Amino acid sequence: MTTNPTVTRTTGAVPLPATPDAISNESSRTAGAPKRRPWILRALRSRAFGWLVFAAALVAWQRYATANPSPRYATVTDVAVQWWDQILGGPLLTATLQTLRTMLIGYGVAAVLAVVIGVLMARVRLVYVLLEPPLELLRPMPISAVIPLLILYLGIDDAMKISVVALAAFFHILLNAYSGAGSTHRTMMDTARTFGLTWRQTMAEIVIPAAAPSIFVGLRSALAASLVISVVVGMIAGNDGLGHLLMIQQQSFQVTDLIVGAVTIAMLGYALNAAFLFVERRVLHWHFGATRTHD
Amino acid sequence: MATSAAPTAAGTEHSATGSAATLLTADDVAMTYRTRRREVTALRGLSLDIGAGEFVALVGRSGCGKSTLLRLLSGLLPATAGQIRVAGQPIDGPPRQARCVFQDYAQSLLPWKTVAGNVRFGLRHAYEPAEGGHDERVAHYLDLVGLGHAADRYPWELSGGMQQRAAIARALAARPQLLFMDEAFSGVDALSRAKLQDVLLHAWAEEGLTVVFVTHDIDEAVYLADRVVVLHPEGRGVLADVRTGLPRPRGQVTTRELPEFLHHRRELLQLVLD
Ligand SMILES: Nc1ncnc2c1ncn2[C@@H]1O[C@H](COP(=O)(O)OP(=O)(O)OP(=O)(O)O)[C@@H](O)[C@H]1O
Ligand SMILES: [Mg+2]
Repeated sequence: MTTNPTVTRTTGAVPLPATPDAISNESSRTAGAPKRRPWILRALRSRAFGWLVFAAALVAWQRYATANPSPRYATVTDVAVQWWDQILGGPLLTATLQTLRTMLIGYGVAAVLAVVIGVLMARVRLVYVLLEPPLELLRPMPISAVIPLLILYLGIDDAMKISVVALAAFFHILLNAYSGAGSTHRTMMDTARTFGLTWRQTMAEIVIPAAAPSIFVGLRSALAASLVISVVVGMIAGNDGLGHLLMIQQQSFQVTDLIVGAVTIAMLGYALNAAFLFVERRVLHWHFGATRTHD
Repeated sequence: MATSAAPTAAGTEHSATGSAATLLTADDVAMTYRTRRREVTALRGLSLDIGAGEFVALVGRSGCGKSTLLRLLSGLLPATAGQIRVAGQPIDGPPRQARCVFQDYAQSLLPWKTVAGNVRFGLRHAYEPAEGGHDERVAHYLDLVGLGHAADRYPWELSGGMQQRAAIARALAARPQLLFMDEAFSGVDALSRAKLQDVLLHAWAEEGLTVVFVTHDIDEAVYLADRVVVLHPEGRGVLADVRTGLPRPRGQVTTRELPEFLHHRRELLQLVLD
């Protein structure tokens, strides 16, 4: 039997974002001989360039801070040395692990609940009817307004912090799971029906995988929200975590330590996002392959 | 590619006599769509008997209710009047022994599974459980539709015709008695379409299927089927039921040149156009 020679294999290829440059590149190529950009333009377009500028800014800061010493700021090397000292042990490590723990548990609880509830709301009318009013009332409420109430009921320990993080993450995921599970294509549902899938099988084999790209959008924004809230809730509860540590340092005017704390949070956020993208690319490789775009 | 049983055997033991036991019955069926603003009666007073092993094509003018009838027969839509019976049993939802191949294959194949994964889906949700190992069965059905080389590709890496072949393989893997197809080949180019037609005829003969095939293409209907059912343009039942009895196996070139082919084509075109 014949094979189609125009079909190209693309499995596993990481799709590149479609930038406006990629498009203009394409048109210039079709217009005539591929014109090579001047090296300076090519350099400006590379990602390394951005990091280089960032490094240059650090060097400038370092030189300024060494030339004009002040207790109001710290040198880059001081921050780096302090960070290295503290991340290996002591209060910074403890605080980071505590925050991370609160965050991951809250995020995990929210992810499971939001996906289950979102899918049920999209697919079971009774669940939708029962849950829509309370959830719609709760959703626009700023999380900061809920914290005092939760402290009243749950105290200032893990239970409260995890609940706050979970609440902050919950709606991001819920809305996306709901809309993803509610928009399974009719033909796909007909396919499930004609193959005689039970309700559970339809959810597990059709609805949830089809909703996965949408669920991942929610999971990603929830990840950022969880990190922010897990730090803030530590500040408000005032007993442990990075937020609490920062507050103590701010009160005793330890500028270097404050910057060290902020740098730690930034790096935590960066690492979590990188880990998220790693997982997403594996789970949703079919989706990126099929749509050829990635934010 | 592994060779499966010789395609030249196609249709030799199938004869379009209609004497076989009735598998599918539509008994005075009607369908009225109710939308908020109005009611549309797409079909009424339609009766039809389809025997086991038959290859039936449904044709008719656009909007005459072909898709509606197929959705009723395949249990995806409940009839507002009358009864559909499969093997004598009134149906209430999609019958266990039937599978569908839809026109929009891109929305029917599971994009998160490879071609082999999609066929395995058919095996797992089969009417009759497969004999032998799943891997061999997957290979068998992929070979049957000529996709043995594309087993580990994803649907979106295939051409339209190949995707539709994958959908056919998946449906066949469930070992159905009945296969429903609604304009299943309209979305692909003419050459892929000819290929799909032959793949389908081969599979029909190999697997002992009963096929109900909706198409707006009279040539396709005459080429594939033993029996072409023309629906009334206003949905009032069956306008004509033509048994063509063209010889099998059929060939894209030879069959289409037969005087009987041309005769039936002319007769059916007139029925549909008038
Ligand atoms: N979901 C629906 N709601 C309301 N009316 C519908 C619906 N589906 C079909 N109809 C109407 O029923 C009639 C038959 O439609 P159907 O899709 O069965 O025709 P068809 O023969 O398959 O047409 P085509 O050849 O264009 O596919 C048409 O008048 C159509 O407008
Ligand atoms: Mg139609």
